[in-house]
Amino acid sequence: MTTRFGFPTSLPRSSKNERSDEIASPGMCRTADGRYTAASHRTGAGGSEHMTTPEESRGRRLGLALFWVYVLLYAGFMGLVLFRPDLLSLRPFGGVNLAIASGMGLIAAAFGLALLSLVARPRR
Amino acid sequence: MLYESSPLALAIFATFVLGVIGLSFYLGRKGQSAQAYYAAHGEVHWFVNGIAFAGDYLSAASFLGICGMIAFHGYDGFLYSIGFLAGWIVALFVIAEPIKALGRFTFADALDARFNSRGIKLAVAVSTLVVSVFYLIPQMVGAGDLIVPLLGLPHWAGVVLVGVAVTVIVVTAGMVSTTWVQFIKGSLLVFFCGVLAALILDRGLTVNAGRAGAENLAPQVRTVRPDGTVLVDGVPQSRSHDLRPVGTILRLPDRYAGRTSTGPLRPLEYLGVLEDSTIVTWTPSKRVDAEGTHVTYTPVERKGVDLLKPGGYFKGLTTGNLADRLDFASLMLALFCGTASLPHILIRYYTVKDAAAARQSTVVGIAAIGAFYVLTLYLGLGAMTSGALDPTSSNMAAPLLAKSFSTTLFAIISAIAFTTVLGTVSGLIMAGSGAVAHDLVENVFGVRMTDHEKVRCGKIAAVGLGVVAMALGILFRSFNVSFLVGWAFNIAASANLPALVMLLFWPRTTKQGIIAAVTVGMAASLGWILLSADTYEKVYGWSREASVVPFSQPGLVTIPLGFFVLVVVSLLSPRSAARPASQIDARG
Repeated sequence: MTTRFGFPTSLPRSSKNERSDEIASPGMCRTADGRYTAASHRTGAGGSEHMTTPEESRGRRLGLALFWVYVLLYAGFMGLVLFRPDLLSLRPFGGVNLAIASGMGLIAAAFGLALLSLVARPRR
Repeated sequence: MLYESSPLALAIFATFVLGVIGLSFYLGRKGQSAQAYYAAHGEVHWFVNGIAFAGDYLSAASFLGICGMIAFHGYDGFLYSIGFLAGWIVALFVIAEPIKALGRFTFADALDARFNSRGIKLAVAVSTLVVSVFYLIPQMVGAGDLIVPLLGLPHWAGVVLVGVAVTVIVVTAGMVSTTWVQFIKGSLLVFFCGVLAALILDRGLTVNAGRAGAENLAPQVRTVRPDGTVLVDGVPQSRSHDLRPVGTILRLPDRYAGRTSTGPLRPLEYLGVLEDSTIVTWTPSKRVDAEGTHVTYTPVERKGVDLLKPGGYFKGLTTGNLADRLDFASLMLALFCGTASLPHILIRYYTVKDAAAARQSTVVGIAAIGAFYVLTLYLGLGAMTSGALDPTSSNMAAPLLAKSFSTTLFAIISAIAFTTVLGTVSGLIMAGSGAVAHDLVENVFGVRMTDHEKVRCGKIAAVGLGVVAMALGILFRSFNVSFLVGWAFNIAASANLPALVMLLFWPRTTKQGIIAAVTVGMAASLGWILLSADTYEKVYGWSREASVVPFSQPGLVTIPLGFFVLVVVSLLSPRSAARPASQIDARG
């Protein structure tokens, strides 16, 4: 089935790969008929209800928790840069200073958290 | 500096560019439906999409701008790398899956999913165009900068060349060809930057690199006369009398006493040795008189430890100036919030089949982009000490670093950098094309189009955007590309992020709130930029002191303003009658 503009109507579900649990994201709710919509439908506005599985809820919470972990790391680093840049010249690990170590650490942390979110969340 | 092109460089460059254009024509034969043109059928494999994310995101600003900023100013360029990558955390954990679920072809689809409001579509389409145009400028400037040494052509020729090539890529196969061009570019960019970093480590650090004797530390003066002629130290510029390439190590640490080179170094060891070395950097100072504009480049002896800490470019971090600190904080906030608000990044979520693939492709993108940003530190510092820097152009640091190894590597890196521009500009023109054809013409103006007409409309819009991009690339040629991209991030974060986040997390959000937030966020950030000291000085040529805003980067004010406006307007407007979920799939 397509819209009047010729687009397939199956999004967000893939016409080729129907999945019953593909949305497990913050702010997303599943409607009673299995479709997906934004947060207002959580309370029933628009005639829908929130129907996430425990795995989806867990994935959503984990994603948000990891987001806030990174926000704290990023804010902490920026706080140092803004208010105590002198500390970043220290070389507690010998070779490189804190500016380099913490900068590379933030990049590594982004990848580490992303990977964690992938392995910790259910694939389906 | 004047550059001489080489046939080898020309051949490699032509191979790259003709290769991607040929690929576009090949892919263009495979499908011309709207779903193919705007979303690559929604069937791109998540790994390919992840690398294409890198190809889309790692723009001229990342490659040319950051390397140049590190080469000229040290650690502060790396702060851009950190901020650019951090934004992907917002994309992964907050935006990826909802965007995939709510939208079809454009960012406006997602924001309008609940309301079917013409006002939202109009506001978001305009915001998409403004952000895309601001992001296009540095890409085109970077293209022009590359073409000068590579082909020996003037800057404008590079801008026109990339404009034409990208328009051809987009018009032939839309998102299908754009995806593959970005995939190829992302792969090549990360791989060859890795090769370049390995060569830097293998070469180690050398006193007076690239020179037979000590570096000539006499200041250099470049004068541009009113008639356009250029003098170097008072003599007309020519290939035999030109500015000297700069950027060398003056002294290695004491443990290398009696040696002029360290030999191969391990990655962390390289940074440690550089920190203990003494480096010569060149600082420009400008003077204007009746004879013309004089820029004097003066050598400055600096300790590595000072170059590898914050404050080389963002002076306020060391001087303590409040306005400068706020400017920096504002920029870093915009980089964090801006990535997940860039329309050309968001539309890539529509090219994969489902939310799980969107998540997986984001993780692959973070891996590739993160690896690249670590490499930028080595590329920038390698350029800083290569003895090959052009004192007049920070954007040329990475290609000239490659030239210090071999002409072949220079040609390859330049061609990849040019392909980098092609990949990013393709994505931007796709985003703009969708905003014009799908959001404005079809959804706002209500023009009914067949599938074929919709594709044709998108292609016409792509050609128009290509022409605009070329004109702006020529106009803004003297800007550092990272600096310009900072503006695009500010506008995107101010206009788009508040609406997107609140739509997902605050049930009371109304369509009036979204329209107001997008409009006010965009207008406020754009207005702030146009009234900023940087724009006064670099665009208008006026005094910085005449500026009416306290610092140049608007995000610190305009991003919270977007949230504030959305909340206030939503509370003051009646609850929107959200469309029943059953209708969400049936909209255009």
